[in-house]
Amino acid sequence: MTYNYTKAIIAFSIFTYFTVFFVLSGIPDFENSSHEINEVAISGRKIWLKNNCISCHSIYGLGGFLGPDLTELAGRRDNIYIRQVILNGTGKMPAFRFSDDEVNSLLAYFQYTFDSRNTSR
Amino acid sequence: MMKKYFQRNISGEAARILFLFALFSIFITLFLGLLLSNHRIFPEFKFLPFQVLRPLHTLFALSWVINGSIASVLAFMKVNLKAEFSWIIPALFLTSAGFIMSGNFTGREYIAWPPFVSIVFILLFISLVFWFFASLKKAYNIFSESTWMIALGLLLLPASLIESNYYLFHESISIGRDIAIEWHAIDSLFGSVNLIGYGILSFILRKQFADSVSSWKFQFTLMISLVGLLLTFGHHFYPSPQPSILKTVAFTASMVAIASLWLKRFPEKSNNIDDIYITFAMYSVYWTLFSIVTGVLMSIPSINNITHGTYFVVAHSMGSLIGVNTFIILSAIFYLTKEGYFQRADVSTNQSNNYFNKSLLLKLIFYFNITLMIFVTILSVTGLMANMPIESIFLSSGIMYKLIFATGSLLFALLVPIIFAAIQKLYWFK
Repeated sequence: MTYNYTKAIIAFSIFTYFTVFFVLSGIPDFENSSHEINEVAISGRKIWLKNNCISCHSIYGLGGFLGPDLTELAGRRDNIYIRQVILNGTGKMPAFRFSDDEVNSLLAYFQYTFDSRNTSR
Repeated sequence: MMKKYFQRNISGEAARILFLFALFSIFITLFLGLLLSNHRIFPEFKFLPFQVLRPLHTLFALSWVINGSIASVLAFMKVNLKAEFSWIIPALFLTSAGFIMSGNFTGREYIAWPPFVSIVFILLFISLVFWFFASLKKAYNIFSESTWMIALGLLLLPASLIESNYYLFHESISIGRDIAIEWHAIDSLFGSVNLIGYGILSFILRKQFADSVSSWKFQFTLMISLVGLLLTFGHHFYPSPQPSILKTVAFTASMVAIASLWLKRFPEKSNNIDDIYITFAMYSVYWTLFSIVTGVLMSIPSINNITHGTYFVVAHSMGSLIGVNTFIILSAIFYLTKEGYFQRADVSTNQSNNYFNKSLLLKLIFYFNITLMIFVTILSVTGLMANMPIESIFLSSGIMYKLIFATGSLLFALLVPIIFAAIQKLYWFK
């Protein structure tokens, strides 16, 4: 009896796990159509991932805490400032040798994360 | 009876290799952790760039818990794995470290190795599930609950890795969905090693808990705890753009974790100095309590608002990873050697008894726990300060980061002899 009950618990837990996963992956994007991610922002996210920016910075709290969370960066700072910090670095942050297109892509990604704040919550 | 169970028809070499690599991994994890905290205090001193050091640190932390958990499964469940084959897992972690050091990382949290390494990991873990079920009946008769907890943990291990690579197939995935799935994958990964860990712990303590495991209270609370364990990731996305219904479900599931406190029982302290494994098990239960309390606190939206994305989260994960997982794996090593699992014919009991002083080891374990408590308290206070007006006074002066570095160094110094004692146990039995 105990054994069967334990098996049922395991089966139910696995069912719960996969249900949650399919709900998360299957539901439509949580955003308004005006805030859909565009091609430039997708390129920006690739640069973000390739350079492992997450080791120092976070988006919505996911990532490292050495530098500030950058979800709302586009709302706090203008693009000229952000560009300068990326290309020249700061005391703690290294300079990155990105092309203009790469910096523009990153800026588009930051604008996208900033805009996503105002979507359904 | 247990000595017969562990000594009969087995080769402990595969488990020994994985345990040794796990111990090597925790040594590297703590060392890299010290270098990381050093970045806060002396940013001009750069042994390795931070974006390389951090994924390396988390990689070896994962290596510690995954290798330690799998080694425990091989030993406790008597899974018949050839020693030559067991080298694949450490080799994969070392390959991943090589990729990260050369700047080839995915840029994702924790699972920073290239996707093709994940494919090999997934295939390997699926094979392990099959081997496990093939040898299930040996352990099942001794303690079915721990066997099933380990089974669920092993099933979730490849599942979480598959989930963590979901983003590769959906380039235009929105940030909200991406973050939700990434958190779910990360929590499933830690959930799987926790389930394996608690399965091993309940096996070790089965004599002490034998009277309660068959009760409806145990079964009911176990079910609630397992479901809660699979859904507690939800509090991570309170601040991110998710539908409010998802946040409500996440909050409810996180609160369900309180039910596990009902299940909580503390092992009785053993007066026998040979039962060091009970000391480790006892501390792991205390730290589980810490983990649940901080986890539930962080799930309360008003508190989450202050703690999210701060060192408070690090305090919770350090307390859980070092306090719970580390002590369970160390308890497993000391228990297995006591039961004769790693018995070597060429080493006599008297000879091996001389290698370390047991009372000194008990003192080291005690002081390590005190230091860990101070360490997580400092991390928690640093996290709580981050969103308060006093932040500029303390954090900018660097006092808190110096304290983190100092207590981290002490933790490292205290854990090294414990690691060596465990290595001696693995090689020179008893």
